[in-house]
Amino acid sequence: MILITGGAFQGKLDWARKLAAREDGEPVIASDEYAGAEEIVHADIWDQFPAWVKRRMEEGLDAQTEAELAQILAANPSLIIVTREMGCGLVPVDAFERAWRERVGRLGCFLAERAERVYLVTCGVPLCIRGEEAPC
Amino acid sequence: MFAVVSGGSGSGKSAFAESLAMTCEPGEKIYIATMEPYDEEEKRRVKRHRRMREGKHFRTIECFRHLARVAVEASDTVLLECMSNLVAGEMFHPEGRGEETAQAVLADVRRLAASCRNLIVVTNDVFGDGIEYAEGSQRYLEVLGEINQGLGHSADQVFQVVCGIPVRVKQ
Repeated sequence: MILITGGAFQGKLDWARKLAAREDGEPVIASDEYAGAEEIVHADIWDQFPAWVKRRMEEGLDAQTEAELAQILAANPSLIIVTREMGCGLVPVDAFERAWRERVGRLGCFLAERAERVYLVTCGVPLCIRGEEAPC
Repeated sequence: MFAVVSGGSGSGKSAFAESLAMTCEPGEKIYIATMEPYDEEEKRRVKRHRRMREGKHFRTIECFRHLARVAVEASDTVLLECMSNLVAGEMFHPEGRGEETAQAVLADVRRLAASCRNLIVVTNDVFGDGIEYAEGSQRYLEVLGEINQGLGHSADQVFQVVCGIPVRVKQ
């Protein structure tokens, strides 16, 4: 699995597309917050990870998130996951917003531990911060 | 050694800073806790951090303001967590340094760095949400930013932690 993170609008998905580029067509992207395990398992790229986490928190499913992620990764070990750096602001006043951004951060740590490579994308420039950079 | 560890909320910066302190031998390990817990959520946060430090042999000293009052030995490794709370305590509490915060805190930290073997300061990257805040918060961002720059200037090592990964930004 490859994890891509970075601030909003920094070119994370473009970098994911480049990594996933295939000769036989466009990469399959799962980006819906309601994306189910089945859809994600058959995707090349899983975008909008924070929105998926938010929806699960709202639906009271968050306690099972790590287990769900472990199953997804076992079934699709070459998945490219796009998350977002969202912890770099002042503490939100709203309790749910606070919990969500911290949860996305912790799950980013969880995914990074299991990733072959981790990229931080800034101004469209990918920086490989874990693993061996593959020629692309 | 003087190291600065920065990162966003939930980035894993505390775990990394603790692991960095664990590599510093010998000498006593002191943990300077700067958050004054006011509500249940903050008390839970303190408990979580205490659990993380269990078994790592840190001696915890609470200090919400006036860092110069903390006495350390020349052989100690000191982990200060975190600068964002210390700055809030200095700026907004009646007994704090108020408008003098930036200069006073930087002077305190430099004195502390000079009086122990290793100092690791955890600070917070709170500058990336693009929101224009009201005057008090905006001033806080300005002061914490100035302090972070001063820390980075004095430090031997600076790390930005992203998804639990320390990205070394100053060698």
